Formats: sequence, structure tokens, C-alpha cells
Amino acid sequence: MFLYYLPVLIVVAANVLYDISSKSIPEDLNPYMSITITYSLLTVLNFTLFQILNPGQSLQGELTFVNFAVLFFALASVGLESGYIFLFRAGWNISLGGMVCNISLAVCMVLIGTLAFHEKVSLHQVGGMLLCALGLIIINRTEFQSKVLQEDEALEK
Amino acid sequence: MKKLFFFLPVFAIVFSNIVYDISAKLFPGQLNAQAGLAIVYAIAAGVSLLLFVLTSKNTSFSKELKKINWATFSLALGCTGIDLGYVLLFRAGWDISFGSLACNIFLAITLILVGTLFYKEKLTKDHLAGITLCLAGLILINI
Repeated sequence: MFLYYLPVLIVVAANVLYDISSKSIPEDLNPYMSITITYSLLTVLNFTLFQILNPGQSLQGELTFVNFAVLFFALASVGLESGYIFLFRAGWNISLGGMVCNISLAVCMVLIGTLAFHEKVSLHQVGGMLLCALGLIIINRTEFQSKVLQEDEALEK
Repeated sequence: MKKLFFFLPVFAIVFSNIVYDISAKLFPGQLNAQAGLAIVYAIAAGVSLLLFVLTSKNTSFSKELKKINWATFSLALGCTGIDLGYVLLFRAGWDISFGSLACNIFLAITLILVGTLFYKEKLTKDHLAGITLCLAGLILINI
């Protein structure tokens, strides 16, 4: 039972740590410098794990399997990590920023699955998308009004 | 213009996540997972460094390096935990849809608690109504 729920706890704890870290990157630090160090650490970590788990195997041999997806995976990672830093710098709350992105992604993935991969979409999925869209409109309108418009009013005063 | 800067990171994250998920789906099966990730992160480090050079105005690498705090390192820990957690999740027998749904709902609730307790963020009735609708919609999408 514990081992069944442990991965959920790891995913949630790691995501919370990820969001708190993205929010805590110093404001005056160039975000790309920060993620250059993060990725360098991750490169060393994964290379070390590869060496430990596959003794005697060379990385050169693995390079022959690399395709365009690996490059796009790397570019998307840069977009994601820097995106989260900019998200919190733009004023989004920790309690809402990540959730708005995750829900928007879930809705987009249903649309992409249907349009690009010809996956079938059910009636309750359409209903779910509409509920998500409505919820996102309410949250975003409230967030924008409370953050950006109030800042503008304060500046005018 | 302010509206654009407020919502641009959301669009960037969602677009990057879509590319990330499709790339993960098309990731070469013969490539060793750790070797593949080492290559991915090495490319990502190179791209980030290039972006740093392009976006920093008269700032030296060493000056910026001094500003780094614990968050840069814990971000790496977070990335590893997310990757490891998802691998363990599906190995423990969770369905793809229900596993990620459970994580997303639990995560949303945890982040609301973290935000209100540790960052003193205030949630209005509108926020709570929007969150409830989103979570209900997420359940409908995934069942």
C-alpha cells in the first residue's frame, strides 16, 4: 500500500520543491544563468548514473540513437524551466500559477490528441474541457485584476 | 502590453510542455534513459548559456555566478524527483491518466496550502470557484 502511494508523494513533493525553487531564484539573477548551472548538474548526475548502471558501456555508442526528438526535448526543457521563473516574476501566486499551466496543458493535450493523433474524444471529456476553460477564465480574470490593474492604480496615486 | 507580459509565461510553459510531451513520446526507444537524459541536459545547458550571452547586458559570467543561491540547486533536485516519481508511479501500476490526475489534484491542493500558509497568499471566493471548476473538469477529462 505504502509503495503504491509513495510515487505520488515523490511527484507532488518534487513539484512543490520545483515551484518554490523557481520562485526563489534571485530577481537580479539572469534566469538563463541559473538554469545553465541546473542543467550542468543534471548532465553530470545522469552521466554518473549511466556509468554506474551500465559499466563498460560508452556514451559514444548511445549517440548513434539520438534523433530530432532529443533536441526538441532539450529545447522544451529550457522553455519550461525559464517559463516558470518568468511566471513567478510576472507576479503569479505559487498557489495558482502552476495549476493554471497544468490545467491549460491538460485541455491542450486533449485537443492535440484529437487533431494530430486522431484519438477519440468523449462527451464527458468535452464537458471537462468546458468546465476547465470556465474555471481558468474566472481565475485568470481575478488574478489579472488583483495583480496588474491594482499595481497600475497604485502607481497612478 | 501588461496583459501580454502577465500571460506570456503561461503560454510559453504550456507550449513547451506540449513539445516536451510529444518529444518524450517520440524519444528513441533504443537510447539508454540515463544517457539520453545526460545528452538532453547537456544540450539544454548549451542553449541556456547561449541565451544568457544573448540576454545579459555587459554582465560577466563570474558576476552572475556570485548571485546564485540554493534555489538553482534545489531546482535540479526537483527536476530529478519529478522524472523519478513518474517512472516509479507507472511501475507501481498506476494508469497513465489516473496516475497523473491523482498527482495533479494532490499537487493543486498542496500548492494552495503552501501558498496560503508559507507565502501568505490570499484566495478569494472567485479563486476557489475557479479552482473547483478546473478540478471537476480535470476529473471529467481523465475518467
